[in-house]
Amino acid sequence: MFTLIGVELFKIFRKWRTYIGFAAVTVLVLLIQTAIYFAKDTYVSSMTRGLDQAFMFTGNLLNGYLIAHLILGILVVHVPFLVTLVAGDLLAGEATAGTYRILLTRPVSRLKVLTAKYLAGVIYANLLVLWLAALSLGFGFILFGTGELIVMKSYIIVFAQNDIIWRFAIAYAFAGLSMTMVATLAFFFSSLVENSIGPIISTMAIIIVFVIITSIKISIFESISPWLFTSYMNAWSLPFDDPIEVDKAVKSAVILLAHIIGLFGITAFIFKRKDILS
Amino acid sequence: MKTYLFILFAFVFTSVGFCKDPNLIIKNLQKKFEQVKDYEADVNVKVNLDLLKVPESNAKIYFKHPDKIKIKSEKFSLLPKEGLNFLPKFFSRKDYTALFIKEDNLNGIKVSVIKIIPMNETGDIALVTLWIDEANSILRKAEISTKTNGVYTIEMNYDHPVNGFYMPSSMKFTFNAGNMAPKGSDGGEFGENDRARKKRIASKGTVLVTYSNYKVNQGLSDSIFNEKKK
Amino acid sequence: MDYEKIIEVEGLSKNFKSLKAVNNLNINVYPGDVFGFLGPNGAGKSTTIRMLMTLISPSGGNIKIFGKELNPNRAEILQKIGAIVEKPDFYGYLSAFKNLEILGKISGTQISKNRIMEVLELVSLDKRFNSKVKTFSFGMKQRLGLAQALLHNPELIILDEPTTGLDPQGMKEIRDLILFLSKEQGKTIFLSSHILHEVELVANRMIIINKGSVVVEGMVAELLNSASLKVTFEVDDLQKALAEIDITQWKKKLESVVKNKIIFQLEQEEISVLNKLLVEKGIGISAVVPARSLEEYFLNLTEKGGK
Repeated sequence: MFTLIGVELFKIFRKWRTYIGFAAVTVLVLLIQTAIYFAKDTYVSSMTRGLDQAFMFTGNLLNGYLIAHLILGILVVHVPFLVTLVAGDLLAGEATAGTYRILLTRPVSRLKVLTAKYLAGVIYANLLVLWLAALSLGFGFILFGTGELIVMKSYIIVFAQNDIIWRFAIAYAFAGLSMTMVATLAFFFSSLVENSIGPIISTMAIIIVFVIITSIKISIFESISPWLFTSYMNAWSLPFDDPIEVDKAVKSAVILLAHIIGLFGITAFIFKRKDILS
Repeated sequence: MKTYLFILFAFVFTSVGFCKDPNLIIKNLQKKFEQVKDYEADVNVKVNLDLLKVPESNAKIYFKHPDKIKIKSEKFSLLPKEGLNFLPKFFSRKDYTALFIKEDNLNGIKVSVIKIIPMNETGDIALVTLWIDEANSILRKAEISTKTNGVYTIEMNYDHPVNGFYMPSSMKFTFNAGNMAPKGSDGGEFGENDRARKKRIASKGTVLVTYSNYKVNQGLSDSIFNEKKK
Repeated sequence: MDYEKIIEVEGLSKNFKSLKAVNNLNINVYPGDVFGFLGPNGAGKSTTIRMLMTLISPSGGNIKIFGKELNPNRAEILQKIGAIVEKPDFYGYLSAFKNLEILGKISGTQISKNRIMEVLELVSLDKRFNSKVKTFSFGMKQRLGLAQALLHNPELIILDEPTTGLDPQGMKEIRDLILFLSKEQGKTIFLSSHILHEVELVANRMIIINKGSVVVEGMVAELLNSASLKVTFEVDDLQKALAEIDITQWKKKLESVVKNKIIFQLEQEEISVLNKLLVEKGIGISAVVPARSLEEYFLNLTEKGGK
């Protein structure tokens, strides 16, 4: 299986479209960091307005952690598209290229081939998140240094320096889980068609529609929302709370995992029985 | 409103026939306060507010007469502005009327309770109550009612004099934290319902500042207070 | 060897909605055969091969390869098969060498670099081993397809129209390679084509299908030789020739007359006899052209869309 996964990863990273995601993340992260660097005074004061009416404070609030937290919030909305670019092509791309025939006539089960492709796609999605993390934190520390992390919710939380990294680790893990969900959905669509455009558009359309349903406060939508996976894709923000709502975090993880496993199961069922006519 | 309060308090306490001179008490307090030209101290800050969750922090505080205050720390630390600056600001103003209310017992210490009514209609402070330890000419407690920021109290503890000066070993600030929300913030990623918002506005909080390692009247340079924030 | 037949197909069917692409097909291929699988375009050849290679699932029937049921023993069976299914497509962004290397890895077999170069040399692609496949011509891709079929030294080789897109020299090379693999290496070859001539040059057994069903099956030599031939005699004096034939038994064998050509339905051995008779009667013969009825039958199938 590891050999198969290695082969699939090799194929993924030999395609130019794979690097669109990494390039886009790099450009966006550096752009955001640079913009804030040149506007740091106004940025910090806009965040601490209200706070500085009543308090005087010290410390480096505009630090790498704050910027990484901000970037995570912005990009976790946009990274799904970059994930679908690759995940949507994993199976449909073979059909387009006509390589299903040489691939699926190997003496290895279809399920193994499918699983290897899927895991390679999941690895890509999580590498993208890791890249986001490395750039955000790494360059963030270089440009802005470290310090405490201030998070605005319905109240303000300031996390001590030694209380931050593990929260980011969990947040990025949740972001990885969310992107895995996106990859799984795109992979499912990829198994149904012979052109990768369809899976990319379908996946993004579903995400957009579900997000809209989740955000409009109408009773019928509110009853549907708990069933939509997009309702749990914001779970990355849960570690940045005190106390952490562990039950909410566990619920989000379980529901996303259930969606992932269910969707992959359906994909495997369909793919095993699919007539390869391309 | 102020005139009415003045008349009411004046009537009640003159009719009882009980009358200490509040201005004299305040003057003694000020005289004692002005003996401290400057000080620096280590502070430990514990914040316990529903609206603001910050870790316990340590900093250095600098004060120079009449009203220069600076805090310094490599790490994050925050201190209540109004509370720290209270006495210097108070002493700098003359536009108020002081009324002696009563003698009272505060944690086993005999104190004089004085109400301060600002005459300035446009200021934020509506009423101030002071609990002054006359024997040592030190302020034990203050309660400040503001027009826009609710009510907050400052309770001061004094362990032992530092080089003969009564410096507070701790100050406990208790206030209404409802207006601490940063403007424009509208709740967390998972939303906030009305009940939570009302709870937030109605919540109280305390900030405990513990002082140690006082250095009083060592001659602090003005440059400490002029340094820009990094 | 504990099986008599290397491929045993019984009652195989495949329906695509209302279309019967393969209908009750029986195929028997024996070890060492070069088996010709013939039929016009759309006859069901590729569909059958896809079923043999588990790319599509049959609607009915049974497939045994190497004496074992195909589906339960899929991986074990495919280990011993090398196949080209229709036009060979590869990962164009990778080189020929890399394509073969990763196909070897996917198969789970240890294919050495030497072996890869060996098969590339066999198909005359060794000099282009490092070129990206997207730069290859169609013929080169065909040869690379053959290379990937041979990579793991399979016992059974399934070739779906392997000479498509090749020039006459390339076609000859493929035929020579097939004969080499069969005679020198003892491989069994299942060769699908719509060109009878190509098959008869290499195959020992063959089947012709049309509209998914078997039309004819047997040894190539028997099918082609036992089939009676349409023989055209081109004569100098048509009237004289017809007058001579009219009084003999050859009248029954006369099929048709076109200008100065007399067409007979003859057995192979009768050609020389009739030829001798006509010459002895003083009739000049400018040409004798035999056409096997099987070939004509197959041509009818291909030209008229299989009617």
